Amino acid sequence: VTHNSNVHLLYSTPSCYLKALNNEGLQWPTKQDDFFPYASDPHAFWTGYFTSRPTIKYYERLGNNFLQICKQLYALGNLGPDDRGNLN
Amino acid sequence: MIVYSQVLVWVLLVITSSVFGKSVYENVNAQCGYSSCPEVKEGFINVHLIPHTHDDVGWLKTVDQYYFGSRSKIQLAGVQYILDSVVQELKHDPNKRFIYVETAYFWKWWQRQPDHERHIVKRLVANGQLEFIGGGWSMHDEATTHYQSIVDQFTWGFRKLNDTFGQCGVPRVGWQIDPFGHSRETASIMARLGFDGLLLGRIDYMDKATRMIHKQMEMIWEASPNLGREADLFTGALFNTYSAPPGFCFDILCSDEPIIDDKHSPDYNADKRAEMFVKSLEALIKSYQSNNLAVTMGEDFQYQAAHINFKNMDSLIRAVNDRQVTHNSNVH
Repeated sequence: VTHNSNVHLLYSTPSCYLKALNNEGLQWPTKQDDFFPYASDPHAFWTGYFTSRPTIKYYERLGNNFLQICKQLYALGNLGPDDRGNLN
Repeated sequence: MIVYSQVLVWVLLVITSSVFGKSVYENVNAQCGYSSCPEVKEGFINVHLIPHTHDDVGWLKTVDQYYFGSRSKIQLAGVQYILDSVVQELKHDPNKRFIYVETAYFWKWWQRQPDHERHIVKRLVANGQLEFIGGGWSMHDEATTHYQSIVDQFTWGFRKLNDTFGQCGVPRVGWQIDPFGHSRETASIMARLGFDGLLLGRIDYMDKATRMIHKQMEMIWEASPNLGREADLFTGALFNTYSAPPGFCFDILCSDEPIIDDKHSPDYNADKRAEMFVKSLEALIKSYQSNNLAVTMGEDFQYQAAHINFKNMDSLIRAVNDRQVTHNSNVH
């Protein structure tokens, strides 16, 4: 049975899709700004999470601060892989 | 002298790799990456089915509950089963592909695999069947994250992948299908990490509607006014967030009808289902410029029983591709 279909399905991946697009040599529009704010529907703007759980947001920033300090001290201390401990 | 000859070899390598660019490299790795991609069919609308699972690194359950699949009453989700069953599917059929995104889960799983399983997975990564996309420790938020932490979580994920699989483990495409909005800085970082593109799931509903009308779902994102072209990144918005087309969720968590291709069965539906699928593509064809379409086949924590997904996708591919005109010279 044939139906004149011009559709071809194949298993693929995002990079193989990009490769196929690239091979077509199309011209694309450009964008300079960001994709904020995100609204999924009218009156449904996902901007509450910019401030939700302020304490955990603060802890994360502080944790990042400590991490950078630890990395710098580790580098300055010339410690080898034996001192890295089990970071996994 | 030894040192000098080593330096010389290194210099030669650098020179040759800069002259020949990627091709030298891909010869070394033969299979993975762009050279492993399936051929598209000239003169046809090529529909790239992208089997994937969206595995939040903690949400309604903790990371460990998601990994081991405990607390099923909260959410039926176990990442260890996903990776187990996907590998079983891929290893029997070189046409099948799967992408994996969250290295936090992959690494937890990898450490628990015996040698023979690791060899199978290395083969699947080396031949491009299992591909890491995104590849950071998690799919990070773009609104409340600091750029330093974004870079740290990417390098931590990439380090594991690179140490385990070499160049074949290095992701080429950004995959931000669930974050609620997208920052220009993330795109800039991704461009400089060496990504060739970025795919998005959630953009503003009005922006999306406008982009669909004008076929502007895909674009070059000029992500940094300071860096210029260095921070240009191809960016595409996916059609259906990151889900399969309505009616074609074959996962064990869904209840859509399977493809029944036994013509003697009273429940035979393959022809009708193929027609439905092709019809669902019309809106995509209208919204995108290209003759290639990306169709995501996955959802949150899907593929725990990957055989159900792949078995039905096999049938769907057969049912749709059988409708191509057989006397046409386009068909090979």
